[in-house]
Amino acid sequence: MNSSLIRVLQQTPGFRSLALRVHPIWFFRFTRWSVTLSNWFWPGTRGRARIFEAVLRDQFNSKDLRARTHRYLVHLRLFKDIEIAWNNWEGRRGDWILIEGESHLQRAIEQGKGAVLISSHNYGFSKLVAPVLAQRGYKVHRGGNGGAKADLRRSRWGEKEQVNWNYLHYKGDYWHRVQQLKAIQRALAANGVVHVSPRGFNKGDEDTATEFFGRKYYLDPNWFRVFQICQAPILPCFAVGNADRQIKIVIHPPLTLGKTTARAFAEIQSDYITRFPEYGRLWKSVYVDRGKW
Amino acid sequence: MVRQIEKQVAALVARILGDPPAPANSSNGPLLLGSAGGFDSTKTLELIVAVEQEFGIVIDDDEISPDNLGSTENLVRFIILKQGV
Repeated sequence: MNSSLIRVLQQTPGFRSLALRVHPIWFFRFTRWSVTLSNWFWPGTRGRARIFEAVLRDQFNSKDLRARTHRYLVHLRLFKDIEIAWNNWEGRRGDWILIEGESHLQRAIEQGKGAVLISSHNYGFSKLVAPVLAQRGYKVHRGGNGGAKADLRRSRWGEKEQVNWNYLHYKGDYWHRVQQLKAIQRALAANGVVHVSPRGFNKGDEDTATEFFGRKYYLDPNWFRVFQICQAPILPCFAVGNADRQIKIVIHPPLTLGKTTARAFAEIQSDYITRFPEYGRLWKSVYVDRGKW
Repeated sequence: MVRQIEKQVAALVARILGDPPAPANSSNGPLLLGSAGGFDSTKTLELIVAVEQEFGIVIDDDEISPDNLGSTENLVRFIILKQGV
C-alpha cells in the first residue's frame, strides 16, 4: 500500500482543504490504524513485517516483538508521509516533534566553530532534523549524495521552510565531492550547523564498527576525518518515536575529537539500534544478506 | 618567491601524504594531486585548508578543479595568481 489516505486526500481537488485541517494527532492515529489493516491484507506490508520479525525473533518475546513490528511499519509509513505533514500543518509542529538536548547544540555553537550533527543512515526520522532546526533559527546545511533537486525539496518542505537550510549534495565526481567538503568546511567556519548521516558498509575499520544483534556494519571514516580537519564539535543526533507517540529529536553532548570519535559514535548508534530496532530501515538487506554478515 | 612557494607546497603535500618532501622541480617533474596522485577527497580538502592558512588566500568552490589543484605545478601557479605576486 504505497499511498496513504491523507496523501490521496491532499492530492484530490476539493479535498485538500479538508486534509489540511486534520490535526497531527489524527494523522498519527490514522497511520497506526491503516498500518494495522495493511498488515492484515496487504502482502507487501506483511512481507516487511515478516522480515523484521525473522531477524529479531530471538531478541524479544512475542508480545514485545508484535508491538515493535507495528511501530516499525508505522515508522516506515510516517517516513514516507512526514513531508506531507510538515508541509501542511503550519504552526503545529510543536505538537508532534520535540527536541531534547538543544542546549548541547547552543553551547557548541557558542564556541564559534560551528557544529556537526551526525545521525545514523537509514535510521529514524533524521530527515526532519534540518527543517526543524532551521525553523528554530539555526543556519543548517545537510550534506549527502542526494537531494540535488531543489524544486523537489521545495515542493516537499515548502519554500518558506528552506530559507535557513540547504543541501550540500555531490554528484559522485571527485572534484565535485571536494567542492562539497569545502562548502561544509566553510559553513562550519561561519559557525553554521552541518547535519550528515554517514553510510554504513559491511566491511571496514574495526574502530568504526557498529554492532547490532550479533552483526556488524562499518561507518564511513572519511566524514570523521573531515570534521577533524574542521575542528568542529560533533554531536550525535537521533530522531525516533517516543512513548507519547510523538517524534523526538535527541541531540547528544559533543564527542571528544580524535581517533576515538568514530568509535564513540558507533557505540551510541549501536545502542539506539539495539534498543529501538523498529526505527531501522535496513532489515530487508540484513535478512537477505545475513549469510555475509 | 616562486621557489619559496614551491618549497612550502612540497612540505604541505608531504605532511598531508605522510611522505618525505619531494622537490617540485622540473627534473623530478611535478607531483600529481587529486585522485590521480592518490589523494582521496578528504586529503585534498586538508591540503586546500592548509594552503589557505599558509598563504592567506581563499579558494572558492569554482576554483577547486584539476586545472588549479591537479598537480603541485598547477597549485604553485594558482597560489601565485591568487596572491597577485
